[in-house]
Amino acid sequence: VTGEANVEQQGSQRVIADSVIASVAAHAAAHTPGVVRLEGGVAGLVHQLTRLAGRAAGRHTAPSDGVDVRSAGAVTTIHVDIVVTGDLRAAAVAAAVQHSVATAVVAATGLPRPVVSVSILDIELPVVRPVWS
Amino acid sequence: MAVNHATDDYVLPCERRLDDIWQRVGQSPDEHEQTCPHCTAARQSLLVLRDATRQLAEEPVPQPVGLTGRIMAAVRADIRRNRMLPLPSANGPVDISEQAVAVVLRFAADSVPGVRARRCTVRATDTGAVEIELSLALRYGGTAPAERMLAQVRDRVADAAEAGIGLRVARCDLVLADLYS
Repeated sequence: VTGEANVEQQGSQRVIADSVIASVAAHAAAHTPGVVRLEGGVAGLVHQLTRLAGRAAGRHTAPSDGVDVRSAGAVTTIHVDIVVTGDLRAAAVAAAVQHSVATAVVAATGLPRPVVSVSILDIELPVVRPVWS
Repeated sequence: MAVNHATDDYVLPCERRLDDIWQRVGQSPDEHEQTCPHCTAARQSLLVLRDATRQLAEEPVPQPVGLTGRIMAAVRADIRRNRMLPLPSANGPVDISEQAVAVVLRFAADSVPGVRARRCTVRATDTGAVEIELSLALRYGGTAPAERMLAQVRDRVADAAEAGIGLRVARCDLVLADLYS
């Protein structure tokens, strides 16, 4: 995650790093009902392991794997990769993620409402073996 | 029937198992792996991870629990990213992995007694709706006529796609591929 978002306010400027936006978005998305986890893929896992190593060395950083933030000026677009549960409608979970991420980012940063896109990479079904009659 | 639980086998579109590729990742690729795009992509991802985990293993950090399962999930996710279907949405784009959809649809078909789902492919059309093709095996000498079982499968698959996921179904083709007893 690189770059930053700028907001002009009463002559002064606020700069918010994309990594901050990503962490806020990741937290909001992961806590949306129906979301099993964020899925950062191989890059995310490597990140996660590096963070784990960093934690042992005393560095603490908030997780943001599975979230991609692009900002240009005050316009921010956020992409979230998720795994959802099978018991809720996948499209509804995605819509809820879009809403909670956008709301959380606005509340935490004061940026204009971002555009949030969502990719559902997996649906976790309950582990029930179908009965062969 | 394997559902896509994190620890279950994962079969690539070329019918090779991800676990087998992981087993062979230290050796040079065989004839199939040299030409197959799916195997090549999976090998590359696994190699990156192997190097990363090796590096970490040398550091004095306790290895996280269930690492192999998480590696497999991560590689699966990267492979899935290649084939996505658009989902209708009101606020910003949403898409979903074709393979994730296929697992749910096969699971729905399996819920009909006497039916075993085989292959399932889902394609997006220009209108944003999807076309489903599902091949099945039916139990030989089952109590219900095949016609009625297929109708039931079609209902459950369409219901899973529309109510369960939120896709719009343009067509649902069933292929009776096999019988079993």
